[in-house]
Amino acid sequence: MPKSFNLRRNTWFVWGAGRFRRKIKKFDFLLWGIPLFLVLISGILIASTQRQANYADWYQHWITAFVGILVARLLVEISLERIRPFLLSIYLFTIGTLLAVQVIGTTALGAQRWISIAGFNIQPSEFAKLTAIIVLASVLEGHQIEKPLNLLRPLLVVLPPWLLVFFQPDLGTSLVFGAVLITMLYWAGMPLEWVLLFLSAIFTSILAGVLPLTLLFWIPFLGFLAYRSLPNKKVSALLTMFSQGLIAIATPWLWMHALQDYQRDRLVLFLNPSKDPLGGGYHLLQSTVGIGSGGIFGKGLLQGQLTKLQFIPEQHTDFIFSALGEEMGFLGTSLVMLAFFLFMFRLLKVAKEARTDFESLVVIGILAMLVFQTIVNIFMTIGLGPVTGIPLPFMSYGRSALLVNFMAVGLCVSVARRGYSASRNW
Amino acid sequence: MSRDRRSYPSRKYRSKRLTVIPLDPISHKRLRLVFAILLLGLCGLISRMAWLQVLQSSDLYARARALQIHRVQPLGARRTIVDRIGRLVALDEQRFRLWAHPNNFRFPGDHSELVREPAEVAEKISQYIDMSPSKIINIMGDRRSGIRLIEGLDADKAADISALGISGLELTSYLQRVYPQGDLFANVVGFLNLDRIPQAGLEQSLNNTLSREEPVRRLRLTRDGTPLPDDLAPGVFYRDDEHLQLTLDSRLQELSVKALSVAVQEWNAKRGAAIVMDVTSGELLTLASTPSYDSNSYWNYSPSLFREWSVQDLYEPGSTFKPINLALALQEGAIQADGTVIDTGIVNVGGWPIRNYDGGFSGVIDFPTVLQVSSNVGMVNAMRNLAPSRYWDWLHRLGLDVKPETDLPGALAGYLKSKKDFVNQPIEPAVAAFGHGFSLTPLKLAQLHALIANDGYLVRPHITRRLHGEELSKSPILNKSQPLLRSEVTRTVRSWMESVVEAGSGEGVKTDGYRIGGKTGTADKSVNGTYQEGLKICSFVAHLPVEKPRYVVLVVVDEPKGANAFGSTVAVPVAKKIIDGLLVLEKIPPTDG
Repeated sequence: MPKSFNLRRNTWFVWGAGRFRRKIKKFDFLLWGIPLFLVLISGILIASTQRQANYADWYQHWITAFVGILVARLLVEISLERIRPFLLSIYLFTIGTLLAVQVIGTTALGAQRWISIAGFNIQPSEFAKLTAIIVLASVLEGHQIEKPLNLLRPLLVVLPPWLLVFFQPDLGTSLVFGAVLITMLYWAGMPLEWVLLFLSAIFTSILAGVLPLTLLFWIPFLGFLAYRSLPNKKVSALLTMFSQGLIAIATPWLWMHALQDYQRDRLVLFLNPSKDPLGGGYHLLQSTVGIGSGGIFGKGLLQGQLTKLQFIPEQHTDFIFSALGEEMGFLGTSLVMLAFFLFMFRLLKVAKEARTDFESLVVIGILAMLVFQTIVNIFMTIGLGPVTGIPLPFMSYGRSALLVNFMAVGLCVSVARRGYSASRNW
Repeated sequence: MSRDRRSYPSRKYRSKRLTVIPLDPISHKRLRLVFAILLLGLCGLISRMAWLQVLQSSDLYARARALQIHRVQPLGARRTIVDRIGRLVALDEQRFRLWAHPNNFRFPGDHSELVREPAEVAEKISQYIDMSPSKIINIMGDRRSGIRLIEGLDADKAADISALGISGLELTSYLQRVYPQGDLFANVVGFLNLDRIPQAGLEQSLNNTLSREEPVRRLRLTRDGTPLPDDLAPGVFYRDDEHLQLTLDSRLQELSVKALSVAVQEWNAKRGAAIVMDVTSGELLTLASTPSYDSNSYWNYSPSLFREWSVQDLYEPGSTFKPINLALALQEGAIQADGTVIDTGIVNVGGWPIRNYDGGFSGVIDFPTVLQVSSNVGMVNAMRNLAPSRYWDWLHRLGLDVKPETDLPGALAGYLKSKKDFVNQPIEPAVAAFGHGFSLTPLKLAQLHALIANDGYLVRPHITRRLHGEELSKSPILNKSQPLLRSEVTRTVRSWMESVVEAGSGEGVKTDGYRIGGKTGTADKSVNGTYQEGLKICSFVAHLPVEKPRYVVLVVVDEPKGANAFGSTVAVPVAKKIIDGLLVLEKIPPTDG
């Protein structure tokens, strides 16, 4: 075990013996504390963005978090294994809600996303992420991914909710599905080459558009990866190269003809937001400016000028990080990113120490979901990535998402409590 | 790679009995890779944040400020001018220019690569700009951008066009000075040229007052454009909406212009002017002039019309100056109020014969009669009793040869011979006695008659009244401390003038129930120093009401043609119309009894 992993010996919160102290010792500070910290800060930030307007009440964020913690507390008491018998019904119910969205859903921002029940807007795609993770974990458990054919089962399981989300259309959430799937497959033993082959299509597309000549090296390299890792080495290598070539040819054509102007702009504007400073580049530019104007110490909570003046659209949801940047400065953003990192690391450790493959895979799926969302969201707000509409976990305003995140925390704590480190004395 | 993972037995489902089993190590490589990716992501993010928030911070902060602060450039709006009763005389209206950029023609919802034909756009906009589609296409020609289609669109039409949402059409707003009264005040107000540079009249002389002080305003705005209440510079919303008010009354002005035009046309005259002055304040109620021009289309008129001749041109006042001479003589004791003077029909001064205008004579007459018959000889004889140097001093003291203090643009000083010439050449005081040999503007003459009418005070003739809600003028009276003439002197002269209306050449203005004093004038016109045969200036000056004068009315008609053209025939009918209007408009009560 490398030295750096000895964080499991985090005995710094163990002060002594006694029943209460044992309880304290059992309490998972990182898993509970970090989400709480993030929710507290972001509640104030949301208040700051909303003070001039009134389309969302900031305290709803805290109320939802409180409810979420209660739900999570319940989940902690239940062993993940006991959920297993209900998996099929949960899965079918989720698909049912996703179908319902298409029929009775509320339209917003050009997509069908919400179901209104008793005054609450419920976003089934958020819950679908969690369902997909658990169901995928149960499918992957005990089935090593060794042959390409092994991919069939997990793909078939994840495809229905994924497609339903994709056609809402909710591109951001469907990207999360992809990230979760690949990470869980990798955790279940899929070779790294395959991960690269999965992702290669994206790089091939980009290269085809930007530097077509490099494809001469790139496609053979992929063929080599396929040769190394796939059965029927020659056939699959050729197939890989052929399909990659097809992608390389098709991408420019699709780019020009299948995408609308605004979609194209959204994908590439982050490379040069000042190209369209008042249109699609506006979010990116404003967000970057907002974060940058915070400086080292920030303008102070509730003091951000751009934040208060609503210069940044959707700031209480997708662009909450820019409010953090402006009001709390570099210190605040570093602290929050460090908190996220510690949280992720703790999840990694929980996954590693889980008693069963199933539990381990669930935690890894949740980890993948949170990491992907965090990184894509922050990249977007600091002008390094396209605007995808992926919220920042625990911080963005959005009741369904926050509830799901806390349920995920509950599952992870449940796993951690039954894991090795909890029952062993290190 | 991670093949080693496969050699481990997979962990199975053991929910029934949660026995402690030995740690099943997950591949270190896999963990290490995931950990490294996470750590790399964290480092990347933190360094990016440091770049944005530490290194670039001040730059980005400046950009943030720039986004919030909105600068309002002044349009260069000028003050509105209104008349005495608040009618608009000059104002700024917002107009729009329509520009076309055919290389960018697109209808709402069009694909961004599509460019519409000029014909399609012309079809859509032709109904809004009163231009046929073919003409619009013609104007555009082959040019691709920056084509000025039309000017002078009002706000409604501009809104209609912008509601079409056609990309490639651009509306720019500008201000246009509009003069609703047309030619009525053009002689006074002047006009702005197409570059909004004042070219004449008050627009030019009061340019500094009329142009508003409009600083570049800085506002902090929210995203939707709401100005913020904090951080505002003091007075940022203050809009200086003060009007410039004139003392002129557009009703009386219109009446005067009409009456003058009739006379000028009837007598085939060169030009005419009428002044109505409030004798206590020097306010002008009328400063009419004909022919005039329309400030809205000044380019159609001769530039010679752009100056107001009653203020900027000199003339020899002739007989209308006689009452002033008599007042000076009375003041100096050179004549007595009940005295007489002999009119022999001809008098020889320094070798020059001086006759009455009609060549007749009146014998021994009193001073009212001198005025009634407008006896030149009688005036010469009367003024002989006043030493020429005293006489000159008085004319100088009355400000004949100095530029009058007034807000009227381009006012001229009168012309008076030098004191040396005046004293040494007997002909000079002699011709001055009946209003020749010196020259002044009609405006100056009105001011001097106001002096008679208000018991000896020189008023400041002016036409602007109010700005910033206060009287713009300084004290309306120039010699505040003591009157120039004794009040019994002015009263006497006024009663003599009343007799002119009662029984003399001014009978034409007689009005039942009102006491009006007057004096006609028919002066030979000198051009380049020599008197021209047949060129006359006919004038009439009136004071009313005589018991306590409030107004002086002066009518001057330049170069009326015809043997019968005299002050009484040309100017008096005009004055009568003006006086009738004045009595009604100013609600002057009739004299008791």
